[in-house]
Amino acid sequence: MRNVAAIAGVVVKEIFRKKDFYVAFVFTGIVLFYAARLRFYDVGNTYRYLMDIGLGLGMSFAALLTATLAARQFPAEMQGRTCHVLLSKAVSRREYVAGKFLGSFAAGASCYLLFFGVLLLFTLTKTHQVSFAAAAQAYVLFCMGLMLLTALCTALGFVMTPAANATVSLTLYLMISLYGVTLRQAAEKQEGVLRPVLLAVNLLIPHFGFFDMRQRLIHGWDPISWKLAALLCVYASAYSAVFLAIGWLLFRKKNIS
Amino acid sequence: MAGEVIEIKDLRFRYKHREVLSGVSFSVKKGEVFGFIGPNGAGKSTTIKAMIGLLFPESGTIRIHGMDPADPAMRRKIGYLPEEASYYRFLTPLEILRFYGSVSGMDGASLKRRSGELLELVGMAEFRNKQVGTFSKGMAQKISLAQALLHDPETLILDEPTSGLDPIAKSVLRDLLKTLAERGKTIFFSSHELSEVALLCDAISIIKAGKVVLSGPIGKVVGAGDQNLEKLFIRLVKGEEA
Repeated sequence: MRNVAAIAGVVVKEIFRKKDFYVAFVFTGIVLFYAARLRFYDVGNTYRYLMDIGLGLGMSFAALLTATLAARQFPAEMQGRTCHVLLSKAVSRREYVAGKFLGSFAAGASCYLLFFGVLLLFTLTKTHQVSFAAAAQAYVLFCMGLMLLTALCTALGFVMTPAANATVSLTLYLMISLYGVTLRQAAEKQEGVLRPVLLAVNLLIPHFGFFDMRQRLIHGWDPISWKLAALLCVYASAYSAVFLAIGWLLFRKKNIS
Repeated sequence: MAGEVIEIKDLRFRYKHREVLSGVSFSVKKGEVFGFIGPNGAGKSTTIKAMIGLLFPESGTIRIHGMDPADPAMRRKIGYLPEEASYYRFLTPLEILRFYGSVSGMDGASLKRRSGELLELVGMAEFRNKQVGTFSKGMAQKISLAQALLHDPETLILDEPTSGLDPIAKSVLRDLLKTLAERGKTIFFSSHELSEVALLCDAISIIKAGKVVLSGPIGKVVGAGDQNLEKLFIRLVKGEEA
């Protein structure tokens, strides 16, 4: 576990020592600040729009930063040969995959924590009451979605270039987040062979949309049951474990030249 | 055989349909300084990468301290210096050493002490808090040497250790290798600098086109003096073909 933590620590340092995160953070701040100053023809409750914009930007940037970070880990190490020295130490390939995954996930979750924290403070100053339980759930569940995305990028990192990996992963993430929940309805409307195929796809794909609690925060709704939240965490962990196992199998006997 | 730290038997490796190693065999005794020499593309770095577990050979066996390179416990006993040093550009030398020390199982106090000592030794103490991305090739090579020695390994595997070093650093490295050899460390290194090999090594292997063409104690193989080694090397690698 010590090796995994050490490798993860280096990945976390990487995101905070490169300018990508700061650019995204400052951009979000500027958009929020500008949006807060707008007056929508005396329309009340503008904090909801602010929350929607802020959460949307924060989630998008966190997903983008996490996917690009996780996607470049192995290819960059192969190209830069940094993995040669690391793997000559007493580090197993399983620990290497786990460390890279954990570091990318921790970096993404830390970035989102900053986005999320600043946004909550911002909305609180606009006198909007936010349920602590709903906010905590929204943060944790979004991080579970990030974990799934990180595991997917980590596995694809052993077979794809960083650009291809980030594009494929983020497209899947976006498409499934937006349309994943309607897939079942679409499948049930079909007839013939398409119906079981779509139902199987619906069952197999990781439903990133399950982890989006934005509406509950924006509209001040109650949090979901803790049992359901726990089940969602198990769901994300199970899928992540499958992706990581695939990644490890791809990397286990890979020649590094 | 007892006393042999590195044992390589009939190692074969193919890269994109090209046979890079065609039955490499040699052994290195405990406390020996072993030179592995050959022309460019002969298979030196491929052999070394197989020895540290980066490449999986098609056939043959590698035993280092009686263990397979895939075993992390074996890698705890070795220090590896790559031909082209490359490190995380956003980390400082001190952070790099602490990271590698941590994955080598070192405790905090000894890691702190050794990091400081080694940065002094390789002449990088004044750059300890600068990011590696700004360093020259020679400076990165010095960091490489420090990380290879960090956990005080029993065996050193060095791939072109003097590559990119200035004359002073080369001299420091030679003295250091002599000192380590006197302390009983086993040192395996590949090099193009035959004078260095003649000066430091107890035994050598010459590799050509993926095959070991000559191996044994340096005294027996070439006699005394680096001129003989150079002549022998040229004859074996080039001359006999002409």
